[in-house]
Amino acid sequence: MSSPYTTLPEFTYYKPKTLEEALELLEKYGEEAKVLAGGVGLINFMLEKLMSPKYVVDIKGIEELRGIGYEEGKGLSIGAATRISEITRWLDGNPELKRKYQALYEALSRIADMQIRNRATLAGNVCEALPYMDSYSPLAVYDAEVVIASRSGERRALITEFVQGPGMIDLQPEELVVRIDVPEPPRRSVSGFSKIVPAIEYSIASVSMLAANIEDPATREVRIAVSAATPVPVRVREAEDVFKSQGDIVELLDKALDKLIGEIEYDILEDPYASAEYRKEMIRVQAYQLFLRLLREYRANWG
Amino acid sequence: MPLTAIHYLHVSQPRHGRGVTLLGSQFTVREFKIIGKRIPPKDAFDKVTGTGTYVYDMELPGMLYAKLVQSTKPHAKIKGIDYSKALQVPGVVSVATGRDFPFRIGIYVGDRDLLAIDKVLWVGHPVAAVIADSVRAAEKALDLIYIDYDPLPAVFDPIESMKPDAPLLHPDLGRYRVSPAFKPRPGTNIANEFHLKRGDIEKGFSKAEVVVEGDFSLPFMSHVYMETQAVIAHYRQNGYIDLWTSAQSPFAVRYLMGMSLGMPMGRIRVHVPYIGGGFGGKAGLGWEPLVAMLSRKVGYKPVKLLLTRSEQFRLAPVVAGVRGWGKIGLDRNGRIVAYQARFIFDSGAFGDYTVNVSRTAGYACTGSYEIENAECESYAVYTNKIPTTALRGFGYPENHWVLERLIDKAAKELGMDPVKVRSLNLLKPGVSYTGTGARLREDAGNPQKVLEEVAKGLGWGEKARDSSKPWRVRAKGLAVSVKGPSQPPDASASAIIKFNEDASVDVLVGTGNFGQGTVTSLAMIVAEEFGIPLDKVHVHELRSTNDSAYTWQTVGSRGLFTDGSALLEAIRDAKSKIKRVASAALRVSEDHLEIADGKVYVKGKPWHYIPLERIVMGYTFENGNAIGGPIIGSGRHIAELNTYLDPDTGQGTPTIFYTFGGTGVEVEVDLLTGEVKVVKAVQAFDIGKAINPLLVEGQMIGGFVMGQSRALYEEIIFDEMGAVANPNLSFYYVARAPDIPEEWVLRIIETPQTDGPYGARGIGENVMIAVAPAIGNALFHGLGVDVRHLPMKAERVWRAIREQRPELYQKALSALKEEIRREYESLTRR
Repeated sequence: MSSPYTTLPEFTYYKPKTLEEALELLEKYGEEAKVLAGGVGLINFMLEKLMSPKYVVDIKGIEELRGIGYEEGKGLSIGAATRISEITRWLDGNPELKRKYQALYEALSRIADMQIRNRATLAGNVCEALPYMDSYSPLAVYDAEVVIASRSGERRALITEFVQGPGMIDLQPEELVVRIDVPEPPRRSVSGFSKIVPAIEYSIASVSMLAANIEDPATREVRIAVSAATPVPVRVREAEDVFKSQGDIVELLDKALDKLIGEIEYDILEDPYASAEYRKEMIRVQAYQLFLRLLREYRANWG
Repeated sequence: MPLTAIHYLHVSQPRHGRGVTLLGSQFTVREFKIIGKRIPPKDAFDKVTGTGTYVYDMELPGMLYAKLVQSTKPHAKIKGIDYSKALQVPGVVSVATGRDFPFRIGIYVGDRDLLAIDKVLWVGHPVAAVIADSVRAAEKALDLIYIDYDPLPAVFDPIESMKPDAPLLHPDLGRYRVSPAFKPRPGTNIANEFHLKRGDIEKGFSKAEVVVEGDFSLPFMSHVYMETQAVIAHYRQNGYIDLWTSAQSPFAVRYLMGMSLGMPMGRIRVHVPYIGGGFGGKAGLGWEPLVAMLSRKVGYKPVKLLLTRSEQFRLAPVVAGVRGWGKIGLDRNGRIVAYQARFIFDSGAFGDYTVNVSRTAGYACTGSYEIENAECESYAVYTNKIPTTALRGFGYPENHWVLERLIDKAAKELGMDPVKVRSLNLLKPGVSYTGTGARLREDAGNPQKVLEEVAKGLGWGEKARDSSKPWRVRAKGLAVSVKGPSQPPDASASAIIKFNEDASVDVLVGTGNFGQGTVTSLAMIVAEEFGIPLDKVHVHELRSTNDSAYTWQTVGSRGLFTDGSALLEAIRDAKSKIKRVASAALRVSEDHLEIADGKVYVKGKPWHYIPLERIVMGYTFENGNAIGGPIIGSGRHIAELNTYLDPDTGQGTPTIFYTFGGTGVEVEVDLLTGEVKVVKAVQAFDIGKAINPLLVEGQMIGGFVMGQSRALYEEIIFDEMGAVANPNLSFYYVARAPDIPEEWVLRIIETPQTDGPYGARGIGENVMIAVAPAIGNALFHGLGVDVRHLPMKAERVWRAIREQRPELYQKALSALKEEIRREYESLTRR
């Protein structure tokens, strides 16, 4: 972020205590209101005068939006006002869940730095919709859903559908992201996250992977999610289906990555920080390195 | 033969310095109580606890705030500025434009304006200043200033800019005030050119067995000092100006401001509290004249200008990008028979300070070597980009990036060990002549020892350790470096010490205090010489031109050498005054008195003494008669036997010392991603005498990391308008804690220089100079991959590996796949 400004535009600040109150404000003010959670994105956008909301609705005071829940078989449920460091600390205290959600844990614990992680929320990270948001690929790999509320009710959106493009999310002005649901990963699975941050703070290519029942082609499941190299997080199901076949594991991996990259090739970003060619190759290289790591973890856990 | 002492310093096992040094011209072994001890910096507590005051923090009663309006065009005439709406914002006091103060300022080439005068030269060029009673009001008004531009053709590439038909940035170049050593070429965009000619270059190359040449480059970079630029100016109605500024050199600010604006210097009072880093970027003159003028314009009220990080990147001077080229010839024995180099410094819109950086790169182009036939040329060229200024190293990192890389390439071509080639060609103190044709003083240090220590510390000749992963490889590389202060031949310094009632000492020096630790070393010198505890020596953090002793600037690693020498003279002065009084009191001749342990005593009869407390404010006899008076000592230093350089050949004596050093690295390279991780760093420097080895070590480590950051990460990126595209620390990456190598070998070599304080030479800059070439040489030596453009960021290294050693890449990928296969098989075998 960068700005010649040190002062924020003027706005009216609300800090509702209940979800109902927050939704009322959002309905009342519509596009003139912006939601403040950690403020990591919003405050910077406002400093740059890219956003000048008349009303700012701070959701950190809403008790029901805070905290993390887990239900066996259903998965994790993370309140929209929960800070990143609260999530990683909570997982540190639940080693079994940390292992289940290893990719998410790894990604969250590498977001920015400690100070930012103490402020930023997962929901805020998801709503910022810049391609390099670190939570995208792990959430995609677990098929996470964004739970959205408004005065007319609740709806859910898959992370890969919720994020529609740089700066664009599937959220109406009167709606509020209330939590992120991360479903239970398959049994006997391992997962991991990898990113490349060459000479900038942000990733230029991130890969999350999840693998279950690796040794058995019949029940084997391998998921690969890519972000940062593409405008939005992606999963390519046909590429993942390759792993259901018999055959040499490296050849399957090669084939799956060919399919994956073939599908997203024209979407791969190119900017002064990394060429599309490098990003493309870094998806592949990280996928190999990550898969090797997952094989080892799988053997240690389930072998 | 000079005496050499070596400290073997490992971070994990610190050892204490040995009290060995010289006194006068005789080598004498002297035991020290404080000199050579590892003493934490005096300012550490204030800085670490955040209780130190910086200009950034300062507020004055009735103070107003300035904000700068930036140009949106790279090169354009200003047709009109409409700020009527801005003036209507409540709280806005005034708006100033370039026509209000049409002066040119600068240190070497006076090409800078305070605000754009009639035309803008880069996107970001300050066009107007808003002054308001709050930052909020000023920022609101910023968006209400409308500038009508008439665009002019712009030039962003320095090579293009040198062509005769390039758009001219400074048509008045011939009329600017220029310092004697500089030669702008009016009617062109060349702010300065420098030529070094020594021997016969053609004849030299004709003797060469191998000739190697190459293009090299360094990008624009930012100093990224923690405290962005901050100035408070109060132009008073009585004609005095008070300035509080985050500047390295208060006296240079005063002098250059007085010179440029035609003001009596005594009426300009420059105050510098704690500074949040400088690295050369706060040398010379900054925003002070502008803010002083704004203060006058608003009716003699104090005005503060504080830059945000983004403004720092877009409108304050950064570090020039350089296009370099070099060609080296070695004979069959490995002797360098000829060297040719060219440097084009992209100085951006103003050449002011960069002209001297480029001149220095030129005159020091032959580095640490004796090269009989050399021709180097160096240019500073205007482009429509952000202006540039000095950075730690000042032309040496640039010329070493070319020379030290070419040495390795030529050595390989010849089939010789690059360490051997270096050893064969290193300057020999007392014997060799440098590139400027000056005979190297015999106590200049021990370059051979430096090289030897780097090679030994790195385990040169032993294979690099294996990496834990087959697609990663370890590689070693090294480079040597030399650095001397780049200052005018008559640069001087002074020091004053005055005693307090309790025989504690106030030290008044002008040298700045922004991380180097010089003030701690100066305090140690005083404590040592009077035998008083260190906490009885006070060096105030505030520098003021009205009550600090003069020093030319705090730059070029000169502080300890010049101001330390002046301080020793001040100490001698005070001692002789003390002895004069004590001689009468103790009834012995002055020659028979000694000062130590806070006492004046009779030599041979240490029990016959007077404590300093009873002398330093005057000595009182039993009957009340008094003699003497408050003791104040003063001392000075001036560069001796330095000369201007010959305008055609660059020959002469440009520096008061050269510090020789060297850097070795072991890196781990991921062949598949191109990521380079430095796992081990070796630093060796002959600094004559380590007054405080702890601080020397701090410089070695800090300088290495800064060099590493420049080598691997840092780069200002420009868009198609020449505007800085990454004006923030998210997209302009600076080395962070996890990037710092884990293993360190630090060597301090002590070959004393007779005219340095206790034999000491400067260390502040050399510590970063050889880092990039050492890393480049590691990639070259260990991987056979030649990367000649900085930064050696992951994608660039990845591309170089794929282009130059595709088989390495393939092998690494196959190894990774093979490991996957093996791992999978061992999983399914069960």
